[in-house]
Amino acid sequence: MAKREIPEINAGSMADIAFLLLIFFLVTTTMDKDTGILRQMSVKIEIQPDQIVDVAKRNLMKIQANAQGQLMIRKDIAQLSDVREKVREFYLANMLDEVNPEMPRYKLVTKYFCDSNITEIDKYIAGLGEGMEAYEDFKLAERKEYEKRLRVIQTLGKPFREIEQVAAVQIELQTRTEYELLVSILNEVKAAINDLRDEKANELFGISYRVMVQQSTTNPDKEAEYADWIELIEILIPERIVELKPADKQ
Amino acid sequence: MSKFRKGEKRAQPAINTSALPDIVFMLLFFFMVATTSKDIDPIVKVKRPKSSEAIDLTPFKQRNEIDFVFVGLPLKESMGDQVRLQLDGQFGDPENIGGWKKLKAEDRGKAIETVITCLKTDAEVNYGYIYDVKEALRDVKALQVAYGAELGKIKLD
Repeated sequence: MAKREIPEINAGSMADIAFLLLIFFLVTTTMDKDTGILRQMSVKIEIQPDQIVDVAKRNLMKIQANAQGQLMIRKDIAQLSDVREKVREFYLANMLDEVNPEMPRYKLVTKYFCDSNITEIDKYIAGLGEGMEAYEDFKLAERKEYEKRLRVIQTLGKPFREIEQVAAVQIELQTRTEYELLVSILNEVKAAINDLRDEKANELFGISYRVMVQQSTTNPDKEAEYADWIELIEILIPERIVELKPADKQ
Repeated sequence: MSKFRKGEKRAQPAINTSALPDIVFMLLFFFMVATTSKDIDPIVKVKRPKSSEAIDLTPFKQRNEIDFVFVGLPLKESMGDQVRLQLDGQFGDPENIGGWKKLKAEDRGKAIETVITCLKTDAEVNYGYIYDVKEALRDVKALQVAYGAELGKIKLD
């Protein structure tokens, strides 16, 4: 029996089909990536005037900008290019030793300190009455913070020095300040903090913080691997940026 | 009889186009990988500022944990010359964003706290407007915000 020859399929129009698909994708997609600066805002709570606590001046680094794009850092006229260096100084001044009384202090966090605070919180929660759930959540969050610090001590194998909990970078703008300036200031502050974190992470784990974060957002395996390290670095160099109400808003 | 025949037209050989689909497919795959789908057509003008610390939000988008809000002047002049929000395909104001976030969270079946709001804002929008939007978001406990910015070096002067 003679074999019948299979006729060849004409692939001449394949290119046309591919072009059609290509043009479809060209039209329906965009090249620009969705990128942005992530920020966590604070919870809104009712505060009585007598509950407002004064924070020592040394703990705050206020960056102000007006509608004309002029900057002040701690009431001194400054340029955008100064922000990074100033924030760095804010963190590093007293990190190793108490030298500058105008910058936030560091205190030693020991296992004993964390343990005693956790027992105290537990006691406080046990003593809370009905209708105090808001306080309980607040205290539980605080307890978690101490637990995190215990883990840090365990990983490091020794107590560590931590910047004062109220130390923060404040950003105060005016209602007519442009968005671009907000992003630029945030960028500089974030860059300073991330540089410090990179240095710390390189020293402790031999990998930079930015790389760890970048890899853990795209790769779930890495996310699990780096989660503890990222948590540790974020406690050693905390990022506390507060955006204040515009100065000229009633 | 001559060895070289002159004046006789020879037929041009046809160009082999069998590799053409491969080339086009290669281009196609490149564009499929390198671009993201445009799910909303902007109705406000947004020119994003630059930032070198901006992070790629695509992972959140793929995990469906992000809402995009555009902030800027309307593209069509007939729609006014005031800065507006674009909530999906419609214009909105800071007062509407809370309700919109709640609806979106319901649609997603996720807690409102876990969904990031990305404010894709025009570089020239005033901070006072952004502040109003942020306060409205804080009121509904949508506390995670991303300030949209293009990845790139900022001008320091």
